[in-house]
Amino acid sequence: MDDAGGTREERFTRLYDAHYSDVRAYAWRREPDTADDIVAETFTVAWQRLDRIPAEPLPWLIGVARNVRRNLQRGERRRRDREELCARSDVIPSPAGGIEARSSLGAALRGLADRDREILQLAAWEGLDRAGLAAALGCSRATVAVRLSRARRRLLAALNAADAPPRPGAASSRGRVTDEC
Amino acid sequence: MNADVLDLLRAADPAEDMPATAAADRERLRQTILANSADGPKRGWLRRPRRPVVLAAMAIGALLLLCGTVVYAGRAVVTQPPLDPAPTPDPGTLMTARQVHAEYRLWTHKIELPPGVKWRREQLPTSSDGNGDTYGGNTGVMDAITWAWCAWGREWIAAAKAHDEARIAAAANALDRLRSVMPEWHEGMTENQGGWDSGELWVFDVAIADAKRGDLETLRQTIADWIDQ
Repeated sequence: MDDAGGTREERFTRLYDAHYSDVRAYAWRREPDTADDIVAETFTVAWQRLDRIPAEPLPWLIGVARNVRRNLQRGERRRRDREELCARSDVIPSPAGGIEARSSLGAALRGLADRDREILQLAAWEGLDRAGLAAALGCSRATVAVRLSRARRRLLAALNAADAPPRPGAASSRGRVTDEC
Repeated sequence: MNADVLDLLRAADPAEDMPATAAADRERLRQTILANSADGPKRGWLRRPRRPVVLAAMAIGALLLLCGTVVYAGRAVVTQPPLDPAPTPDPGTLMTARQVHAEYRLWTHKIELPPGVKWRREQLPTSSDGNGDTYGGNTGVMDAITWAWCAWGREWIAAAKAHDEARIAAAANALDRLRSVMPEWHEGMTENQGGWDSGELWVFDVAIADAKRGDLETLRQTIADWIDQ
């Protein structure tokens, strides 16, 4: 945190005020139905671990929120059910955020692997840099650099493929990056 | 062009439509958090979610690392294998910073660097005190390979500039060896099973193939992705 002074409660309140909206936006983009639960649990963890929070707290908070979200999902079938339901409608499931399914961007996002989609969303929506992504994802910055670069190219390839006339039996653009990227 | 992709995503940020939280609700949550744990961290509560899963996973990870160390040391003494590929970590593998550093050091002994190049101190994302931080499997392996890749890549580029065929051959051999031991990540594996996926590995293959044809641009790009780390 920028200012380590004050009582624990004051430090927590500064953290809470500074990043409540960031954490809620992270949760809402992905799980609007449980966003408030994720926020509450994330800041509860933050309060409990206040002395361990790094100087740049947002990536740490995003990492906690990410874990909370996963825990909430674990063992539940609701999300899968909702995705199946959404697949039959014009609304895109949560992995692509609230982007409409009919948009090429929404379709391209849905076609990406989970971890490609996640790192792109964290970079674009949460505005995390490589160090922040590494902290949030719990991996090294070297891994982040490669993964982000590849995810960008895959999304671009998927967008290009979506813009191109459909070819019968065309293979998915997911997976390998091609020279056409 | 890559930046445009992120710009597209930013322009489609779903949070633009996020309803605001009433100030009273926000304050109520803050008060609830503070009231429910007025004395600050309660260690029992803090560790509750960690106890059944995380601690067991950490124990398994430590055991795997210990076993891997012994096996490697045994093989190194008896057979001196060229370079064994990194093992696939257990899905629940979580390592402490100390274990990652140990893994990193192990691989610095397995991998040679170009003459005059030293291993860098491993950099891990940590919280303020580093206590309780955990990392996925192969974090140390991947960091060691990454650093060696950059070192040998730069060596290749420098050798090409100097038209030193012997150094080029050594660098090519070293990158081939590094590529052969890169841990692979497949769809369906957990994030704790660290590795490069097929798309990433394909880029390394292209970098090596291009470099052998005299085109070092892709190799430069792979290094540029990492050089600021």
